[in-house]
Amino acid sequence: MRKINKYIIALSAVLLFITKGNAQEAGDISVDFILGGKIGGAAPLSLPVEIRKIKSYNPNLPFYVGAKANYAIDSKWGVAVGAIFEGKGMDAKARVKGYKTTFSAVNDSEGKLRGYYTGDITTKIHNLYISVPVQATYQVSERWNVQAGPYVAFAVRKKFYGEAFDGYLRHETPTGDKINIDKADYDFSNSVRNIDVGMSLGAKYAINNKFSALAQFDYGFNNIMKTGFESISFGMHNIFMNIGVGYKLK
Amino acid sequence: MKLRNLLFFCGGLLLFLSSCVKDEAPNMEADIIKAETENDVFLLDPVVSGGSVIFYLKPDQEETSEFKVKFTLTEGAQIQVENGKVLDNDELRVDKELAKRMQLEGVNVETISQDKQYSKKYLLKIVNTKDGFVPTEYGFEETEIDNNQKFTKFYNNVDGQKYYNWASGNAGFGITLSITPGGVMEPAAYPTTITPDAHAGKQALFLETKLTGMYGAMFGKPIAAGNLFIGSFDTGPVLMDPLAATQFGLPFNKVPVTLEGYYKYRPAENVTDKDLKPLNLKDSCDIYAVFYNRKQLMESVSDPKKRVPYLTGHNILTDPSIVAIAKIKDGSATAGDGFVKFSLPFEYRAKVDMAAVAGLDYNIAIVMSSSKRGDSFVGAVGSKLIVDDLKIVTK
Repeated sequence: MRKINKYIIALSAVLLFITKGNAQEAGDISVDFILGGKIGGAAPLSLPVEIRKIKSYNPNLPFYVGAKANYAIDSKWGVAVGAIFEGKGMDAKARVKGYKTTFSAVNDSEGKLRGYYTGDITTKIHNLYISVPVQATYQVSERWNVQAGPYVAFAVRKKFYGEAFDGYLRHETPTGDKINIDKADYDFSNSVRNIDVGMSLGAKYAINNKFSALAQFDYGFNNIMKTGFESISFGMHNIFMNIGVGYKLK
Repeated sequence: MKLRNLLFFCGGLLLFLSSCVKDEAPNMEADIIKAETENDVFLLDPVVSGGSVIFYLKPDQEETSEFKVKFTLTEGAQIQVENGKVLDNDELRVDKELAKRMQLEGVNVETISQDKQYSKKYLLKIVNTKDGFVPTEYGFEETEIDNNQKFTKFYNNVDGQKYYNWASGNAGFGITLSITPGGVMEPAAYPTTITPDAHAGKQALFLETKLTGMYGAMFGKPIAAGNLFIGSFDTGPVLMDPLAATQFGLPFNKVPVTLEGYYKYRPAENVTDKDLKPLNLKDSCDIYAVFYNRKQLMESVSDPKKRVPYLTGHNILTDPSIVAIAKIKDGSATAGDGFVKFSLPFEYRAKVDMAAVAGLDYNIAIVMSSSKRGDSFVGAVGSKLIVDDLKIVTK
């Protein structure tokens, strides 16, 4: 996060020498090329009680690139539509207790070892999406514009896997046979939903008439895993903070 | 609003979202980890295994009157007796009447997890060892089917009481069946079961090396040899350290001379290794018995917490506490279709203290396997060993 901040401050400093307003008139259509980084993850809304300790967290594929078109309805309001290619991923390592899960040898094979796991677990989510946001925009001041609206994201690559180690599984139930686990793999990639629907809330600061600084918060409404997926007892949502720059193409 | 505000806005939002680790939930597990008793009428600390807690009386004790049992449970768990009364301080006061019932049919207790959602039943049983409880003759006629996993369990009837002296890897194989598509839990699906093809009586022990399927693919343990042994089986180390899962031996108060019995062995053709790669080997069976000094075994371990009253796959043939071994020399296919008699002399390597034998300080383990190297996952799927009318000839 701090790195990204520094990056943006440095970039802004370079760009700030040219400054010009960005007034909006009804009927205007503007198109921005946008590019940036993000931080976040596929996370439960609040940490479930099964997770005892987060040992490490790293963003994975924290980028977005795309274009956004804005149609000005009047001098304040507008509608924006975009097409954005982005990664939503993370690598996390946690200590869990009584975590209901399933270990399988190969991706989503039918043979599964089910039960309640206590021990260390890594989670690697490396999903790529093409997102289409549709947003209402509002010009707050000469430089500030805020946006809000839904998005639909289509998964173009789905990866969700990891391993369990240094722990034990209680077979089927918490009082079932205790099986020590030194290392077991799991792969839930095929159970990742193809579509992620959510809501974005963003702000744009016009640095000059070409460049802008962008921040946007995306929250996925649906669980990223398909309905009927029971190997993790809590729902996970794509929650990301995006920070980037825009370049006005038109 | 300036650019800085924007950054503060982002930071604040993230802080708001990053929730803290919650307070730990109450435990769901409910194990009896340990049972202790101060009364010196017992031979060993109570043995907690699977769903039972066994109290072995010293051989000179016919019965016991009153004693206390202190249980160590999963943190936060409780233990209740038959009438639903929760024990204070996890301590059970056994009076004369209760002791009698523990000795006759056993008494059920139930552990309840800290979150009150899960429970587990245990049978408390006092075992009289005056005449020994490991008999010297086995026809494998006394079997029953496990309630949960539907595998064959072998026991011995001694003076009208059931003694679950025998164990096998079936409990581990049950995990295989539970995860394999189409896996059905039925007695014949397991590597250790019975056959009507008997030397005498209605049935004989039937061991067959089987594929572990999905389980094998997951954990590099592709086959399971059929096995049966005196002792118990612990599923805990079955993935990480399978040799430690087999706990060999029980107290025995006689001096063994030979291990006799009848067997048939049909090894299958294709011996494979732990990666299911073919090996240019012939499969062979194994039948052996080990007589060892349990007291010496336990005293050889300096840390009292690490002392165990059994040998495992790691040291069953090598531990310094071993006094004698009787082992089949040639485990290859038996000739013809009929049973072949074996008679294996116990070869002594140390002196036997007769008084200590009478005091049940020695253990015996009998081990049978359909693939001799099954413990390292080398064997031929389909190798079949039938054993019947096993006998330990004693002095």
